[in-house]
Amino acid sequence: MQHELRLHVGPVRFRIGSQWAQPLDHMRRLYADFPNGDDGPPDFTVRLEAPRLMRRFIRPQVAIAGDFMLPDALPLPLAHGLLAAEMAMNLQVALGWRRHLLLHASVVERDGRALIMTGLSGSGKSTLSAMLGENGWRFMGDEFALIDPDSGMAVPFPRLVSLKNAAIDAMQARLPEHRFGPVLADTPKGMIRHLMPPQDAVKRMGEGALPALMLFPRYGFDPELRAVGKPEAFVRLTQASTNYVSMGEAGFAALSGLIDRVPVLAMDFNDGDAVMAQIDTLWRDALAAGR
Amino acid sequence: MMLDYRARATTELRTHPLDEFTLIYDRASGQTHLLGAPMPELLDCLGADWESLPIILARLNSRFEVGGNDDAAQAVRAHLAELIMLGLAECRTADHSDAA
Amino acid sequence: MSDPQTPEPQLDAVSDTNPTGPVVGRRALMIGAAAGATILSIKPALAQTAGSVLNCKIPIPDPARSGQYIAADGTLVSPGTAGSFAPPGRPFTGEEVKAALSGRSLPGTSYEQSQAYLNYIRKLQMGQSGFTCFASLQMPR
Repeated sequence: MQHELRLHVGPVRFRIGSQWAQPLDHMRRLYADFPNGDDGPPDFTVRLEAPRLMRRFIRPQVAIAGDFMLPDALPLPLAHGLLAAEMAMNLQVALGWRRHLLLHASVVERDGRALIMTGLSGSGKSTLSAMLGENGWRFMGDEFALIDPDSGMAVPFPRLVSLKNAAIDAMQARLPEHRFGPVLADTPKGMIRHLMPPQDAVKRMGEGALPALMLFPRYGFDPELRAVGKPEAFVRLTQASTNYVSMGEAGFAALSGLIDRVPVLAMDFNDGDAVMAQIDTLWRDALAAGR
Repeated sequence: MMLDYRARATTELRTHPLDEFTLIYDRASGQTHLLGAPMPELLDCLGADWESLPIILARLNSRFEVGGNDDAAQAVRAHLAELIMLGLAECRTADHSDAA
Repeated sequence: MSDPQTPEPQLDAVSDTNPTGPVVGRRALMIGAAAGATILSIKPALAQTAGSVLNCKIPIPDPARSGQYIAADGTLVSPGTAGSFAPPGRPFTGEEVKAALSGRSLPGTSYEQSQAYLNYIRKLQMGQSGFTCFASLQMPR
């Protein structure tokens, strides 16, 4: 393809080909702190291409292709090319990565231990991880938690944080403009802006951490905290994993081990500042309980 | 039709207790099951050799205070049928041919 | 087969049938219908295949708000509001919506109607009928 970019994020190397320069120009800037993606063979190839010849030039559209694809997925307008690239990378990992158990979750680290937050789109897990990452915690990823089946460690996968709608304003108020990608309006998920992970997160993306606490956050509800029993947590996490089944027995061992060792709390909240303080307290309690 | 029952080989099933439930990973099928009482206890009453329902029922009664509103033999037979359907236990007809 | 729960003698429990003798009791075990649901088999999370996406349907509007009309920008308004459109006679399939989002009109509709209906669909939120169908037309996150 005409334009190419290599990325190395956490344990994964991507090769991204594109028929247009624009999406890759954005990515080069936003991933500038990351090591050279040429430092090893790519694990996945992604292609951003026009679905039909005319769509390369006239009302250009980006269709996502690569090692793993979903047929019949809708193309995105070229203005959202960066979003297409990020979605494409997520798809490759979700469908093709087997070296770690994948959980649809954000991860941050403090005191050498990992906090995992899992939930659906809109639960607040991405925004929480971005905010914690700017407030004393090390950001390890906002989309996938990667759990090593042998050691049980969470391994960093710190891609761009995808902020949506109101979360964009909250972070823009706190962080300099150069940390953000372009404003993407009217995407299928509303307005999106990508946020560069902190430099410290990138420098230390080779350092894993043993999980000490897991949260199921839900944003937009009256504050409530509830312990989640192990059997319920196990079943919910099988549904939050894209590769639990394909990992076979290693997936079973990784997930049952994680649930054995890590307490799980369901946390409903509607105030970003209050919840940060609450997470602090829960974290101290979890560490003190000696997990 | 009288059936004999036995456990799957221990190498084929991987179990993991989780609070009041038991997780079972079936290596042959790659399936994961979450079992609650009385299923794990019943599976534990099955041996490596073929045995009839009365023997299994007696073993269950010796280990537990078995309760419930149904006829115990019928209930246990139904539970065993569920376990067999999922591949977690085995059965054959009592005349020593394999159950269809 | 490991034995996850070998019953231990409960030294602090008194057996009903032997109130003064050695206090040993077996754990209670409910069987039959009284046991309730006893087996859950894990099914893969991504159960929705590409094929099923095209067969799913999006009603306009959500049955909870039937009777409302659709404005040009996709919001729901009271019937008869100027510039708004009556609901279509039937839900549209994922395949029809996908074709319409790529430039064709929804079947049986004028251009303006189709745009209004598509704007309604684009505004769908989780919990509203048709949201999952529409969301699965996009790439998964």
